[in-house]
Amino acid sequence: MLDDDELLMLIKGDDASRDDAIAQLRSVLLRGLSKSLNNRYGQPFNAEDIVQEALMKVLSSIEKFEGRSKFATWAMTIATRIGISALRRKYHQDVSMEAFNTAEGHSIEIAITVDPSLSNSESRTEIFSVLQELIDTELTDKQRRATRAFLSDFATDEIAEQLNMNRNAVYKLIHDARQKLKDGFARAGLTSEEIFEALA
Amino acid sequence: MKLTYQQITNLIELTIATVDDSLGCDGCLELIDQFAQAELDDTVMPDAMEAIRIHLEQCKCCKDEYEALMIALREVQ
Repeated sequence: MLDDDELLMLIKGDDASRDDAIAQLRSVLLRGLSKSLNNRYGQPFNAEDIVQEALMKVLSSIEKFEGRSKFATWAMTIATRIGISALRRKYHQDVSMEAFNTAEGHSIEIAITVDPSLSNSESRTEIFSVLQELIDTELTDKQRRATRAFLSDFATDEIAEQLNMNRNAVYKLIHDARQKLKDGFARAGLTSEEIFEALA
Repeated sequence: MKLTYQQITNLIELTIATVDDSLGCDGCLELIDQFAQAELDDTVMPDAMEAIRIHLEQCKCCKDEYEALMIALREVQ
C-alpha cells in the first residue's frame, strides 16, 4: 500500500507504476463512497460510475492540488461532491416542482389558522403576520422563489440549476433574504426569545 | 405557494440563526479538504477555519457534503 506522498508522486509521474497508483486511489474512493453515499436521500448508489467520473476529474485537475490536506482527502472531497450532486439530481427528478411554478407569481403564503385556545395564540398570530408582511415587502421575487424552493427541500445545487444561477449565488440570495427577515423581526420589536416562546 | 406549519417554523428558525457569512459556498468548497483533514487528524483548527464552521452551520448543502466526506474518510482511514 502506497503512502499518500508516494501515491501523489506516482500519479503525477508517467512510469509504469502510475496505473497501479491510480488503481489504489480508485479502490480508496470506491470504498469511501460506498460507505458514505449508499442510501443517502433514499437512493441506491452505483459508486463505480461516480468513482470513474471522479478519477477523471482528479487526474485532470491534479496540478491544482496545493497540499493543504492529504492528496487522498482532496480526491475524496472531489468524489463526494460529484456523488452527492448525482444523487440530488436523481432524487429531485420525482419531486414536485411546485416551488418553481410561477403561474401564481412568486408568492409565499402563510395561511395558518392559529388555535385561539392556545395561551400563546396572540403572539403566534402576530409573528406570522409580521413574517408575511416582511416576505411581501422586503424580499425580491427572486429571493421568494429561491426561499420557497429551499423550504420545499430542494438543495442549493438544484435551485441553482432551476434558476440558472450558480450555487454560491443562490446561497447568498437565500442568506440575504434570511438576514432581511431577521432585521425585520428586530425592527418589529420581536426578540428571538419571544419568537421561540410563541412557537413552542 | 402556501407554506405548511413545519415550513414556517423552519423558516423562522433559519432566520433567527442567521449570522454574517463572508465565506459562501465557493470559499467553503475551496477549503473544506483542509478543514476535514484537521478534524480527521484531531489537530487545532487555524482561526481562518472558523469561517467554514459558521458557513456549515448555515448551509445545508455544504453541511451534507461535509458529513458524507467525513464518513468516507473515516471508512478509509
